[in-house]
Amino acid sequence: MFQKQKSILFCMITITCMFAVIPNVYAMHIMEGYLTPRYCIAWGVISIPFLLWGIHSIQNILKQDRKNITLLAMSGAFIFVISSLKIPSVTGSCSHMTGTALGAILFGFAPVCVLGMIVLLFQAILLAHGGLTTLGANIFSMAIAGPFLSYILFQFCKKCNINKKMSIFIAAFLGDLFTYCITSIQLAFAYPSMLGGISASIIKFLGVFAPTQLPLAIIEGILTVMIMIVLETYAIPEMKLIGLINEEVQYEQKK
Amino acid sequence: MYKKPQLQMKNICYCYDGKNEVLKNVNLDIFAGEKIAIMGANGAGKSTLFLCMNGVLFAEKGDMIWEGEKIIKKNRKQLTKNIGIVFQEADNQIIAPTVLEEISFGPMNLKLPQKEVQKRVYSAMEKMGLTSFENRITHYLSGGEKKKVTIADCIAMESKMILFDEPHTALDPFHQQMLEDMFQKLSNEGKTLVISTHDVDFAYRFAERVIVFYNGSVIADDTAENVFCNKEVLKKSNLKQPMLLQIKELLAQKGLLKKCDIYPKSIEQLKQLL
Amino acid sequence: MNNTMIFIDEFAYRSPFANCHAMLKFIFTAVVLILCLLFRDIAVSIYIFVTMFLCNVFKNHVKWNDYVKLLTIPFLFIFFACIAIALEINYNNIFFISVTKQSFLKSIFVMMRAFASVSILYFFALSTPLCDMIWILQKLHIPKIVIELMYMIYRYIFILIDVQYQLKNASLSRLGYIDFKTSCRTFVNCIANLLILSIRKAEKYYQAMVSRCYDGELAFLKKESIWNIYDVIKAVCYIFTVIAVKYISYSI
Repeated sequence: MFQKQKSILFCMITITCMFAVIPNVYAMHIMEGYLTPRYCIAWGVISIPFLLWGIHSIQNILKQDRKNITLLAMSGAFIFVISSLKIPSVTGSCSHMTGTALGAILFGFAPVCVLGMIVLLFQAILLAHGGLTTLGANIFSMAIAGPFLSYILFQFCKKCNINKKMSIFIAAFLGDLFTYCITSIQLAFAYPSMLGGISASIIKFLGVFAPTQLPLAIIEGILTVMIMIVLETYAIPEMKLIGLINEEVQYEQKK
Repeated sequence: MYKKPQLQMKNICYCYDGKNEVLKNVNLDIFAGEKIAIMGANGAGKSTLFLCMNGVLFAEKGDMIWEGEKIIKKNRKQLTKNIGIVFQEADNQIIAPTVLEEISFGPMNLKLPQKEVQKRVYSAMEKMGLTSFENRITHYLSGGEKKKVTIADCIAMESKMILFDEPHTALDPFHQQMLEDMFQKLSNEGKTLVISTHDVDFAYRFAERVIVFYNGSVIADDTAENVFCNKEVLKKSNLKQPMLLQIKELLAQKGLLKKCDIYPKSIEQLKQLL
Repeated sequence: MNNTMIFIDEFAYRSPFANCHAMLKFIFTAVVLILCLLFRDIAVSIYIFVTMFLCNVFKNHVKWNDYVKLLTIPFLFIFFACIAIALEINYNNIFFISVTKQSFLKSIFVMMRAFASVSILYFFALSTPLCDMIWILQKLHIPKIVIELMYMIYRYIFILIDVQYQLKNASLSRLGYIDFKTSCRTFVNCIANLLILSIRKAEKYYQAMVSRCYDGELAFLKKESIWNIYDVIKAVCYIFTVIAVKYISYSI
């Protein structure tokens, strides 16, 4: 028993130390140079149909009213800006939100695909997060998989009449976690373990990034809930405006 | 001889979302080359009027006639092409990352040939003293420089009439002076200027005609002297009398003026009256 | 992190390379990146890392301490991912974690390769303004709607950052970040407010665009840049040296 306690204590100390040392915790962007050309192209190709679908749905939104273009662009800029903001923290390290979960809940999945792609490209160039060759992989994990799960979960919870706060938290938290899992899988494919193959490699990457990504996912979930509460109490006319975009997306999906 | 107005507005009404009317029965005739100041409290409908004049918003009730052509919903581009608008916040107007691209946005939308666009953009930059700015990035410009860029936008479109929505806000005295010189220059070129402002001294000094808005309708439309001597209108719209007129009246009361029926537009003119 | 962003963005405009043809810079970056990834050779990685460091510091005139600071940004990810690559897990019979020499070397190789490619990316980011980048994408026939959104988003990001900065200062001046609980609440309120303001602004922007005859197509006059033959020769020479390094290290 004593041994176990000691190891737990050791783990906790390491985690705290990491948080003290770590300068910047971002959501997991795969950095430039991590994927071989084969995987870069493969993930890019996988993302393309989603992006085309996103572009198509954006075009439909714009066909309804051209005015929405500034609204869409503003949403994109908003996602970029919140992903570059420092989350308040106790330890003094700075961590950042993904923002795509909030985006998916607010603006719907299809527009966020395309906006997420643009945001990721800008992050690669302006913030040096992610890269040009890894853009495809990052788009898949952060602009497609994460928002997709968030959106689906949020809609599902809404249908099941689950408490709104809870459903927003679940959507944001699991969306974030899903992004982190997908990124780990992507890395594992590129770097399979010599002994255990891809599955062992997935566990390795999941384990290594857990101390930074798990707390981040929880914090993002809580903050997203708080933001939505504030928005729903104070910004009803604005929410209606966004709802216009969102409804059309739902309509598109039904068709 | 009766001169034909450039822009005629008859019984214009406009309401957002069908409920509260922002503009109520506005009748205005604007003649080519006029210098007009529009005054009125915040929310009196000045900005909405400008958007209607420019064709961004379309007033369902009332008629607009531009140079003899009646404007309907279909051809309101005619207004947009001929009337430029400089918004209150320069940041809201600039859309392109560099100054060159920003100024070229309007002419490019007019579907002009590349050469013509280039010519217009460079001449507009020269007029506004922005020649060395062509590659500057818009989001690192200072407030005054942004204002200059937005005015250059309208010059490059060669609009016949330019509307300025509170151009003086958030500018330092140097840029305010520059702006006034610019207005004079544009007016000399024969452009019609419509400026909405809260600065009574500026309106009195610069404008030939002052229009006062109150709750969405015109309550005064006359020469600057007549409007600013009309105490009733001033009181209703919470405007002060321009400083020069106040001084002049004071001097007249003390019997120090030679002639009382001349309205001085500058300190020099006042001096001559003494 | 906004500081990094504004640093990179502003630097790109006054970079000595800003007048080079954007397409040349893009092709150069792409070719070097692909070579770096294809060769998977530590010598090539080190060569690219060192030459790009020299190029950025001496040719592009980035202050070396700024450059080092920029290199630390991706460090966290690179560091963690390399730990993961270095560790070997086995859970078939008994669960154990080990570091073999082979896997350790591999992680070092990957780390070097990542740093090399990040430094090329920095070269590109620090010499090419983002609007040129968008122009390149336009030339590559990315759908028009995406290009339009990019132009607008690029512009709006700076407006929103400005708004956000003001909101933050306003709340700081009223002790909004005094302790953790308050700062969480302030942070949330700031974000919500930012969203409200940005949606309100969106309509004004549309009006401003329509007032200048916008009818669904964003078009700008682009300053024509010319292909400088010397730049092309330099770029090609550099690419050949990369290949030469690979060849030498291969023969050794």
